[in-house]
Amino acid sequence: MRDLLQELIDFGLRNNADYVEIRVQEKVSTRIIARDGILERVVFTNIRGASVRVLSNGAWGFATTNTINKDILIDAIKNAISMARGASLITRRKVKLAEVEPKEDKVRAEITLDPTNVPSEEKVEYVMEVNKLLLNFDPRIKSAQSYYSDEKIIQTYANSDGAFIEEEKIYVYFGSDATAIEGNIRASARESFGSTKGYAIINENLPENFVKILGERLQKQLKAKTPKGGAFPAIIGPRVIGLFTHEAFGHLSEADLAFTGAVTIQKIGQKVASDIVTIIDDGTLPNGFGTFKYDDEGVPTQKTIVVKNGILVSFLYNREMAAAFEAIIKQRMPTLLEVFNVKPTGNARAENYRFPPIIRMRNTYIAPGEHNIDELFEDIKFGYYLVAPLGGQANLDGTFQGGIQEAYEIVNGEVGEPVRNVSFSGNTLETLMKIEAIGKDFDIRAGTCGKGQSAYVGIGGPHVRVKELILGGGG
Amino acid sequence: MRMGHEYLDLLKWAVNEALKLGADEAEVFFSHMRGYIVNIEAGDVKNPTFLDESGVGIRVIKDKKLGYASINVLERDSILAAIKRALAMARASKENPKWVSLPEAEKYPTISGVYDKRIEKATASTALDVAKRMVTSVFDTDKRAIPAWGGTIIGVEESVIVNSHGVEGVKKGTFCGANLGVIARDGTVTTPIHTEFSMSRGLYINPEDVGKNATKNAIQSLQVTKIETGNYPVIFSPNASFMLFLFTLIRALEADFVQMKRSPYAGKIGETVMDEKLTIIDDGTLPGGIGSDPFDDEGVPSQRKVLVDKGVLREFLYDNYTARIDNRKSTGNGIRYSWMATQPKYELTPTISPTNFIIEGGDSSFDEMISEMKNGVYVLEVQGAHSSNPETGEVSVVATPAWRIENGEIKGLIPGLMLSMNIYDALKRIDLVSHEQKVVYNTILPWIQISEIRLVSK
Repeated sequence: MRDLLQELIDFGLRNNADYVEIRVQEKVSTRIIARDGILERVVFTNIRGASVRVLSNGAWGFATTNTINKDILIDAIKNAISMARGASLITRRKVKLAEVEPKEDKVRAEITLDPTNVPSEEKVEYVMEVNKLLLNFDPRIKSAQSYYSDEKIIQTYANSDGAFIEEEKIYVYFGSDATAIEGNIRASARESFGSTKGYAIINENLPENFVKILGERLQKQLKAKTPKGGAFPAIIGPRVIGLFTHEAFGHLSEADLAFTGAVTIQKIGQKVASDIVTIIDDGTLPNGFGTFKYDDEGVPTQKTIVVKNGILVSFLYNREMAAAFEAIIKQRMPTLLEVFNVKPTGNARAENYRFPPIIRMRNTYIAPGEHNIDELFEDIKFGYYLVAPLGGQANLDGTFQGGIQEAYEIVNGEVGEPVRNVSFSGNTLETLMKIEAIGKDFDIRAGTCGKGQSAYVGIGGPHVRVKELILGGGG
Repeated sequence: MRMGHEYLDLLKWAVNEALKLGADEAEVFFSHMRGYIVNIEAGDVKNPTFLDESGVGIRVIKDKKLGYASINVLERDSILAAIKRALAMARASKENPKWVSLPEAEKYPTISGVYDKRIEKATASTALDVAKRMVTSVFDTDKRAIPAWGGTIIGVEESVIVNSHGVEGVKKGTFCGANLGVIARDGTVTTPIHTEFSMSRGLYINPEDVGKNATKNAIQSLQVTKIETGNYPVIFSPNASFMLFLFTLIRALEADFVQMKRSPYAGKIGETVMDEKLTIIDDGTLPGGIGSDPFDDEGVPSQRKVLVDKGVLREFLYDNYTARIDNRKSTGNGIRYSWMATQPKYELTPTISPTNFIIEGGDSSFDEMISEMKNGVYVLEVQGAHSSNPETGEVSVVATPAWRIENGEIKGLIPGLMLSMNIYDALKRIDLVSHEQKVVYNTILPWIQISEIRLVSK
């Protein structure tokens, strides 16, 4: 393989490419779905393919195919070069890449049990057991879906700077959703987990424990009241603060979106959060769903501090955007280079060989603080405690929205009655400024992020107290 | 590259091999996608991409146990290995007592306007040109606007299906789309993203209009205003309705959701479930429709069906599996679906999805709706619709961009406006439906005005 990739790279360099990179991938995966006690789908997938990306005359060209042979790949390189040259005539900005030391490495996934070595029957049993336990948990639970998936991906990466990396990645994910009905009240909830540690994550999550979390969430929702709309003090639990950190702030810290005009572009080296807030995007977190060793440009991953004690100290970069920001900042505000990072951070990721890498988050969280969780609740007369999220979305202007599936009132410093159909929204930077205390606890969960292509990420953090958060809901 | 018809023989062979290896029923689906994608990022044309991807998806049934496998190496021994994998998956599976059978062979309609030879012959320069024209039209319209993201896709997709009940189908279609998100900046004001698009099965898109319209809206949003928290009439654009319906109304009309008793419309066929101004149709045969095809992805002929007739619920969307459970025929909605078609079809299994989801136009014009509004809001897009609850209809989103309308005039953007409603209740109090409709992906939607929507403002 290495000889073939080198030959292809050399061909590209001889034919007007200034930079060539090739990714060859093989993926094996199993997906299982059960609904209402019936096993509906057991799906095995074995996919392979390759892509070439070239830089010619300052523009990218990208071609992908699932036929891996020399002639087809030579055609792909020719095609990519011709597209790059076509693009170079109309792009406004020439692409430059930040220098990185080319790596040679072979990386095996650090796992205890390879899911591809686990019999499908065993996976099916797990899915069915959870599904049936859910339906039997409470007679008011009328419907339940359970889904399992595993993926093993082996990628060979080579570029014309001399990088040659083979990396294996293994993902295991499991989730369920269920509906409970009592009279006119309908409640629905979901729960999931995922890891890069292998099938061991399944063995660690006993069906009865998993079902208890989801089942009790539904029971609470059935008796929950609707929240008051308006601004209230709030304690945001690890999973919701994780969603917020990822959706509301994380995307704004992606260099391509900042470059596009996200509000963060005006905040380089400036205060964006209260002094106690440090935000990290970490590709090294053990077992994290967003953990890997090299990104899809062959750059080593790292633990990137994005906000340090309230100050924006780095964006998340690929090689192109690191070079672009270095040039801009050198030219316009060189003193900022002392406080603001412009080196590649290893955030270039592609969903698979069919996509060019773009800037993506990894495991994103607010660093734990100094307080016991109980201390955070003290002296809140009335507020809300947000525990489990549904999903969220942010806009470049800094507005965000998040949906919540498990939340409680806080009354006189104590967790009170459950509330349902809560959502929260606001301006990201204003909200980060209102963080007044951070717990010393920490929890992080698996998630999937969409940005035209999907990426596995970790979202989490500690408990956080916000002076004031805008809550909606109640219909 | 072999053509679709040449794959028929390979697929027939594969179905036969599956039966020889012990399958009671077998289905083999082939898809091939070839095309060009060009992205727009941070005001520039980016990443021209050539994509060429083909593979097969296999479904076998043994003793009512189903197994699926997909592979993208198209040599016979690899396909044979995948068939064995599918059978192993079936063995690992559990009996599905609800399973009846795969679809039977039927005659397929001819659908016009879904294939354009110019697209099959197009090169990267066609896609680059469309993207460039979109970007240029933004800067030409107003210097304060930035094309933040978007792109162009032109592609041809061919699918072949064979099953052991005699289903044999070959379909080929082309697609061309352009979309663009524009923000505007002036001083310290940054607007939210304003999205516009144009899509067609032929080479009939207008990139200049996409750029110009998105820019005009973004520039309008530089003017900022406020509104008091309260209940207001709201006009939803087709873009906004699409996002809201995708995660609520459309799901509620899908038979699997109904059979799980999660849909609020379960058991309500023949009842009035929404305002009589609403008629909803799913039409897989619509000439030139984005979701039109002679047959769905399990070989069932496409058809037109009225789902809601003047507010009265008439029909749900079925795939083969859910249809057999209800002892009826599929409506041709077994689609190998992925969001924005980012995954090749062979890798996916059929699930229920609309073909062309159409809400019929009404009596009003969009201009009248604006000019006759005394005090309300026009919602162009919503954010966070995917956290809506399709079972209860509870929706809580940020309406952004959203404009305040007073005495028929646009007063400006209301930043961070939260909108909460029960969408199934809201659909019962429709004020106005425009006669203009817009193609939004595989939906065709009018502008819809709904009264008494709860808006929470900062």
